[in-house]
Amino acid sequence: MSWQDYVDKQLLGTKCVTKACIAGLDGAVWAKSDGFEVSKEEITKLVGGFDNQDILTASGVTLAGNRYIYLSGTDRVVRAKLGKVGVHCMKTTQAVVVSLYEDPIQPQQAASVVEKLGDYLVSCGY
Amino acid sequence: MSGGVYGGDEVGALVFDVGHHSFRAGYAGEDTPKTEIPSYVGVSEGDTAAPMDIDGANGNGLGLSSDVKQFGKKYTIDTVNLTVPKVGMEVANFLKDGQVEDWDMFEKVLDYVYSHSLNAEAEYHPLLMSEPPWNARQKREKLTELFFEKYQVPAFFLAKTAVLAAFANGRSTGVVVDSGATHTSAIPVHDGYVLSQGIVKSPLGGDFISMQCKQYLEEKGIEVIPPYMIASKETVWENEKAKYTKKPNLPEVTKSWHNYAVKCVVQDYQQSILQVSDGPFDEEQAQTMPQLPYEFPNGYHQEFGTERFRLAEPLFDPSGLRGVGTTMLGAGHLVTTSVGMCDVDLRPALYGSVIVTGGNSLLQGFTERLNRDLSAKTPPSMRLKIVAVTSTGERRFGAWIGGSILASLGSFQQLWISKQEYEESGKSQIERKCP
Repeated sequence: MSWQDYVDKQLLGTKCVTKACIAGLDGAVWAKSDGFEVSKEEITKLVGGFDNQDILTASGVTLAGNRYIYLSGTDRVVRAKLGKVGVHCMKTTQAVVVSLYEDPIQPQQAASVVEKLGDYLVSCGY
Repeated sequence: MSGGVYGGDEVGALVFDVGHHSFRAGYAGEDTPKTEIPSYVGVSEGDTAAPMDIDGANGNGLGLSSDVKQFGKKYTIDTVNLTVPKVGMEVANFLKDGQVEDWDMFEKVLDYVYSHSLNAEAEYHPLLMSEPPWNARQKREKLTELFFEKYQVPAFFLAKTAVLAAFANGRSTGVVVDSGATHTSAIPVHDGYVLSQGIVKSPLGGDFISMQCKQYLEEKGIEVIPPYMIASKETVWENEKAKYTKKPNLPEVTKSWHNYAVKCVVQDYQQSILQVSDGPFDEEQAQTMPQLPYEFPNGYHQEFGTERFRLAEPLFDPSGLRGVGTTMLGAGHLVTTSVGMCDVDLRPALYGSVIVTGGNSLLQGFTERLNRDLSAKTPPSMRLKIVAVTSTGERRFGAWIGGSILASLGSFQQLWISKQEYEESGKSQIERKCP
């Protein structure tokens, strides 16, 4: 399966995620859904935020030009939100899975989908 | 909200809210908890316990002897049982810093709540439980495990107290100022999520004020005799020495139990006498305020003036405290510090709803003072609004009521962690479903 398939089938296909991308920890975008233009800088900042939450707490998470308010996170998960749109990101060994969901999708639904894919990627060595 | 008609699905969910002072439990959809029992539990060695005790593990009081051997300890739960003086019964609390510390005791309390207070069978009722926003991951997982494995609940959910308190006040965003027994905290909540980086807490809560009161009374030479020691008393004049007779042949109670009994009296004193002054404490100004009389259980009574205000002052200005000095923050400072640690874009919304909850916030003048302290510190560009319900019950049970609302909402029903999900994915599910 190509990276684009993961985004299209595993994430968007579940209808629990509206936009998504998978990127390397260096910020290079491996695959993304249509119209979700995330820049390399945005990803690098997000990746840095997993280890050091402080950089996200004050300035939020920026994705495709929109700034989301940081909610909570651990060393592998970051949650953020702005109005009706929520963000759920998960860091794996070599990559980061970024996903956006919108009302009426529940954050828990998106979280399950994203973390399931994340766990699978980790188990494959990514 | 009353009577469970919230347009919600009737699932008979239970809501548990655990605090340092008391454990609140009841059915979702109702407006007050069915039961509130103290979080203090009497613990005695098995062989010395009176046969009258209600033992949580059995529920029905049968088979006591086998149980005693098994655990070697007996637990006395609920106000009615706890207030009876018993030989060798120590008083302990199963919580520490808001988190469950003594799991054995906690299980006994749960058994008691299910079997005696609610008369409900755990396996038929989904359970929503509150947790402190700083609850550790292992504790959350252990709770999940406990309820699914031991109590066989069909569905479970953990929600943060601050979020629930915000819901109870009809908000999903705001700073929750929770002044409880052991501490006062400011917790920023955005869209139903706790912003954990912005939590600020101080150990100045109701228990601390009780200690101050106790110390003050001791210094004044006012003896606090708990009601259990008093057989009869006579009416005396104000400031006159109390005339009372002690109960004969009192059992030899432990120090911790006696202290607990004293604390109950002090708490009453605190609730009826103390008041937070409008502005920073000023001796002269306090003298102009009316004095309030208070009668202790042994009949001694006098009027209290300035100390009414002085004793409550550390909640807002701890700088006058002996020993701790300036290392602690007053309630107003807690809020500004907390908001200062949040996203800039979010700050106006947070100042726009400062939600006051917790039993200790019922001290007279608490919200007024908070309002005053905060308006002086809020940036001029932001609008400050303090949200505080006036009724005692709603303030004390803030988190419980929020839980009751949440668990009875139709749209919440898909969020439960079901037994099936737990069996498939295990306890780690809690991190995913209840962030």
